[in-house]
Amino acid sequence: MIVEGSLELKDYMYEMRRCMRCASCKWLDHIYMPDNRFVYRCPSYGKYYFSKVAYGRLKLGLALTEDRLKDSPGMKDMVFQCLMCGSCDSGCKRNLDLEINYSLEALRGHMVQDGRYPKQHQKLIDNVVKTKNRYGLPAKERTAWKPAKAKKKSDTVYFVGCGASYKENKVAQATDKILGKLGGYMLLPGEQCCGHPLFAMGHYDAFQKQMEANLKAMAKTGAKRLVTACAECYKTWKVDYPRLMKKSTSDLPFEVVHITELVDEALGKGELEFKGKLDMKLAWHDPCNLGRMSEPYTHWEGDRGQWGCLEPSEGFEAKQFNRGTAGTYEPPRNILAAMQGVEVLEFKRHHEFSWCCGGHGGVPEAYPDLAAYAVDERLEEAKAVGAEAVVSACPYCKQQFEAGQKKRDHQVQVFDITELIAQAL
Amino acid sequence: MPKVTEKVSKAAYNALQNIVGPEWVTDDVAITESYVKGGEIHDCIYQRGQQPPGVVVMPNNTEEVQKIVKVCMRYHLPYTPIGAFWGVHCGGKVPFHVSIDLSRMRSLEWDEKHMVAIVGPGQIHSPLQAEAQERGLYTMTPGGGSQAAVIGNMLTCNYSPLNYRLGLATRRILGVEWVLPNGELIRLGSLATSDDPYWGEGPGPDLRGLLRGYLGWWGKVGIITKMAIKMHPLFLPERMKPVERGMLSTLEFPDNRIKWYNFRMPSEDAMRDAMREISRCEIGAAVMRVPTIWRYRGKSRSREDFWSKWGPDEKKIRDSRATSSVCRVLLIGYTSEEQLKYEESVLMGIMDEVGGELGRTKQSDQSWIKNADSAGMWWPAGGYVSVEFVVETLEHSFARGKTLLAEKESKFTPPLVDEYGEEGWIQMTDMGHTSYFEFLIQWDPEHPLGKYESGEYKAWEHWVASQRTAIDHGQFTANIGSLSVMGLTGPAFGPNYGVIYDKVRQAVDPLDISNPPLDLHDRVIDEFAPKWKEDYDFQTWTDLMHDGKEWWKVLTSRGIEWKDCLPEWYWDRDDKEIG
Amino acid sequence: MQIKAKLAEIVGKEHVDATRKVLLPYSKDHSLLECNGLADVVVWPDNADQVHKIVQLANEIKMPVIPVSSEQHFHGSTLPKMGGIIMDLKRMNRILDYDVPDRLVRIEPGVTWGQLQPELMKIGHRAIMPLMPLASSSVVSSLLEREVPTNPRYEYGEPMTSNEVIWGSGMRFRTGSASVPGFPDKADSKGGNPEGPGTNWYRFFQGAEGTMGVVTWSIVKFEYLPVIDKAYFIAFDKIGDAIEPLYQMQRRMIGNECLLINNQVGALIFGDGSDKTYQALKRQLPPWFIVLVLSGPPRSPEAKLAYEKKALDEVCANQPTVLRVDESLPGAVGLERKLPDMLRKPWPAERTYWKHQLKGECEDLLFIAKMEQAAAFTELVTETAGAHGYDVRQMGVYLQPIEQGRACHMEYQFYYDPEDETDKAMVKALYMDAAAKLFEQGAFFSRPYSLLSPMVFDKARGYTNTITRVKEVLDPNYIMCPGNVCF
Repeated sequence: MIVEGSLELKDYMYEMRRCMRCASCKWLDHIYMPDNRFVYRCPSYGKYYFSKVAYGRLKLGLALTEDRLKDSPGMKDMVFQCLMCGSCDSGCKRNLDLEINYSLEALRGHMVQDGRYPKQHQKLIDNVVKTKNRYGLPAKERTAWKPAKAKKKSDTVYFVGCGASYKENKVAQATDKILGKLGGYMLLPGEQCCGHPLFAMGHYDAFQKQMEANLKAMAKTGAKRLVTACAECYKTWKVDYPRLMKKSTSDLPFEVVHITELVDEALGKGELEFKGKLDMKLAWHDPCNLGRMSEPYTHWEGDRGQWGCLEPSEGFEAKQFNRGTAGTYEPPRNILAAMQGVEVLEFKRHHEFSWCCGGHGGVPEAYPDLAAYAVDERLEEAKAVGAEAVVSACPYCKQQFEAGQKKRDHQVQVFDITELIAQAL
Repeated sequence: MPKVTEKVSKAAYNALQNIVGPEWVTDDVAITESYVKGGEIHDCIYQRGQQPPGVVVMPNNTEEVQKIVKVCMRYHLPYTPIGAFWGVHCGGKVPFHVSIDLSRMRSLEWDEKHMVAIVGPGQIHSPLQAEAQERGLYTMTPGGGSQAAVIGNMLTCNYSPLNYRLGLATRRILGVEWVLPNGELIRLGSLATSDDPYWGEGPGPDLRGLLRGYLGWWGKVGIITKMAIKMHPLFLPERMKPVERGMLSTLEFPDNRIKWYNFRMPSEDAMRDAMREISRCEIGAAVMRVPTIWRYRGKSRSREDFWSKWGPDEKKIRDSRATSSVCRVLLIGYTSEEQLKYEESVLMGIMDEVGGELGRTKQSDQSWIKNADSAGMWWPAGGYVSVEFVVETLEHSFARGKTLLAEKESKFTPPLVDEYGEEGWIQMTDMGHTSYFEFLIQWDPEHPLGKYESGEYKAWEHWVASQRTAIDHGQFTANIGSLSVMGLTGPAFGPNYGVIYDKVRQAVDPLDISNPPLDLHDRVIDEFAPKWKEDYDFQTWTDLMHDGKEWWKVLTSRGIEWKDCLPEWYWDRDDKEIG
Repeated sequence: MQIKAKLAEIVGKEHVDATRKVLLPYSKDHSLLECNGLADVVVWPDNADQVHKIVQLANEIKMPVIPVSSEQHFHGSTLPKMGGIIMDLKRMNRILDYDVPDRLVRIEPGVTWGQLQPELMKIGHRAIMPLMPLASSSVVSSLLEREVPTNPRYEYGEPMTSNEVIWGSGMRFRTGSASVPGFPDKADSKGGNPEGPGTNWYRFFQGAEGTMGVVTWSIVKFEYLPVIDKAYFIAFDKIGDAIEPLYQMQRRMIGNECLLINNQVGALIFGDGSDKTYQALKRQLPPWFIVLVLSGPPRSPEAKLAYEKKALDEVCANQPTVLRVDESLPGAVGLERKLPDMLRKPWPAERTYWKHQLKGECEDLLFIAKMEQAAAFTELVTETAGAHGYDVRQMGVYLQPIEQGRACHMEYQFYYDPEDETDKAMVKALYMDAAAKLFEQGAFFSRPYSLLSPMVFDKARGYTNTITRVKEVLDPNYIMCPGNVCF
């Protein structure tokens, strides 16, 4: 019996056995390969080489499941020197039907259950569990950014997220302004960390608790829509929450929307108009969790029959494969294109093969060298396409880019799209 | 029980570390485990001979490669060079081997005016194609896929319909830098006497003869650390643009200079006549007969979608077998737009005469200019291999196809996927002097039918049988050399090519250190399918040449036998439940 | 038993000779290499079985074997440097079979250009040839020597496919797809693929000057004979001015036969052999000119000529000074009609070979280069020739583009009087000097014959060591043409 989204490593024998090392998890889509410089889609491989990429991890998973290997000094690094950015999954699915993301998540969970995970993750985990935010800061400071347009009750809940609440206040403030022009919003009472970092680091039990708390709070609001300006929170609410409940995104009693989708829709309807003129050449960075990782989740159960064909159980239809191509890509592009004075450049690695900024999967905490490599690569790529600025839609991408820019002075400005939208309004 | 647990010694490991630095060498099993090609389900039983390495080392330049090879020599460590590791045959066969992973060596240099690219062993095809097109050039991406290493592929396969105009790989290799198994560095072609690798012949008798044959050695004669290869002039003012994304990503064709045509042919004779005449008139960039199953695959969006159509259409396909094959032609206006128009009119004239009907044809490509879909071969059933992929004349292609089909249908289907009378894929090569023929088979690797009966076994047996039938019918086969049952092909072709083949290999690898052994497939059969020796009438190479005694010097010098190298779980494999 | 008797047992006594008078001509050829000795015996085998036995015998008695297939030789490769058996293959002159649909023909080594081309032309085809070889030259030898064809159109090059060879070890072997059991009569394979079995054996005896084995038949590609042709000429004052247009023409795949020659070569090729015509041509022909033949295939030939001519005109108009494309050559009236045929046929047997017309002999300094090096190399050779006292107005220069201009064959021809020892010595000194200088400047001597072998193989030491190891497998007793190449 196959249950979509299982977190058990043994449920991915098919994936681990059928991987043929075609390395689509490592290289960009060959049709789009731009040149000899920006060739990889996997930052882990680009930094560490060897087989520190999905195909290597799947073979390790197979050996663990078949009891051919127990442990080794390098095993933990092999599993956790990975941004869990999902690029490998969409690479593989260009041609095949293997669930790479699920396999890697299950492998990570397996290691966590055995207590074999980077000790540097523990602080972040403890922070979320104890203080309900990833920074370990007082819960009451979550709304210190001053939500000017928040109402007591609304059909729209703005889920701010830890990043914008505590560190990137400008994102929250800009979103506040935008939502104010679109009819207002309410905050989620008792908002806690969505749990994304726990999930990304393989701590699924702890994640489950965050999920339950937030869902309960959301249910109490009766709101029909949850909007966020954080890609990680967006993906978590839209994909991971229904998945762990064994439901589909469409089964949620509310819609999960990213701020860029709202703004794009509003621009299209004439509800918003850009007046201000900006003056910049910018490159749009597709955050992993807004793009390839955020396709709606469709729960599925069934079996695998002859030729490997999937046979749905009763009540289910044919399995949907999320290949990363149907993520939220066009709304931010439409928004930027509508701004005056802005020249929007495309990175060489874009859409579902966008290069991860390096701020994900517990990597900045445990492997700062990998995080630094990833962000430096991306900033070099920005310069290579002629950009003066990088724009993204996730506070964590912004933090990463700012850190990279500060440390090694790439001479590239960094913005969150909400800041530009607010400025252009 | 396996006796060999020997790791690479500390002294050898330290020596390797001193060469590349500690971050570029590892013996951690979490990593080495993944250096066995393809896991269990990829090609076939011949993977059973493969082992994780004792050490993986990643050099960054030729000098490091040389030093590593010398360390291996000193400590009698067999090594396996790998580029992209896309070819299953690259995998090492003994547990203490050194895997020399050349992925860091992705250099790419150009002599644009003379249409030469000089690549390192870690370079793959799609960046090469991208950079080539920026320079008004293009290259041939092989059927194996963009992800294949350029050098590795040029040394082994490198077949594509574009061979029609561009020739076989062996002729597109120019100057070469080569680290022999004893660590000596030699240079071929013009690189032998200068720093410019633009020309490949000689000097004098041409050592490129030792780089490969119809197929290659898969790392058995050392390591190529640099290769200059022929590029070709791009016939467009700028590079081709990618469109669509995901499964549909493709290069858009400006159809005034490059254009596909799909013709439905009324008979096999019409197909043959058209292919010959197109070649005789020297038009075209590619001419091929496309297997029916590929049309179904191309139109399906999932495996389930494929099977929902393929299964029910059996009768329809069988009944229209002669006409269900498509003649697919690519025209390129190399000289000008007028050339394409001219060739199109000639093509239509030929097709009119033979009764070919032009069908709808998408003007894009995801397979030959920048191949992105080769992994899709595994998609319909999970197990796939080409039991044959040979270049010979057109009639030979038809004959070989009929031979292999008869064999497949009578002995191996099921469990192989029934392709309803498909006689294989044919592409004209060398402007029609020859044609490339490929016979692809598929099976479900998860179907637990057990030893000798499973899809995996039947696929492999089909491969062995195909060598037997090649010998019996005087047919050429790709399965000669290290990709063959040496005991079968060694005495038959040449005749006795096996003797000088092995001798010439030993001349450059006296220690049998470079990805041994030569006769892997004989050994695997001896272990796992010994009954085939009688069924197909052969002795193993070791029995024929060495009286059944172990001959690899890297093993015999340590008192080890190959049998001792196989891990325990291989023997359990056939009995255990799969899935 | 004496060698002659043993050989007689194999080939019959009328096909063996050890008399001085018969042996003497084999110790001389058109090259500058002096051969001081004689072979021990000459034998004329009729078939591969006999060749096989001869090589086996030679191994037993450790006697050198020198295979010879053409009537005349130019590079010193067939001179018996250490005595031995001259194996003259001229009786093996059968065209064994044709495969017209695949355009392949199987021929013995004694088949000459004069024999093969007319036969192919009878069936509407032709083999791709180097520049006007002697009619009596062996086709197989030409291909083994990697002589560069005048038609750079075919990217895949290399007309030779499968072969039968008797290795120096005495092993009889078929290469390529002819290696299948039962070839040719009981096999589906037609020998069209040169590769394998196992490794590319044919490469070892190409460029090997007979040092690896004796080829007893080869399968050779041929192409359709064009239905119509049109020759064009583009004149230049300096060789350097011709280079960029050549690059551009070649990249756009315009035309079939294409070569660049100076008026010296032109005067010899296009003359009638008389001094009067030669002098007139020397005066009237442009200093340098490209010869380009546009050809029409079996279908819609005029349409092909039309688009190629248009492209040619575009290239010529695109030069810094617009180039004139002439349909005839000054001083060579009517040549344009005869030229395509001339380029597809060997030099007429009844006429003195064009290279020998001027003074009786000619030494070719040939190598591979990039076209962009042609001007500098020509200047260097001209200077060197002048310094040695050679009349540079009589230096032949021939540039043959290869495969769409990715490289070229360069050939400098020095004519001399073989009876004049001073003249000969001067040309030899000039040849060696020019070769050394060119080598230093990056000229690639891909087939370094006799006099130049040490220069090349000493530099390519690693290569030399490795090919020697291969030789030791294929000719362990070193009986095949000792003294040739680096062996």
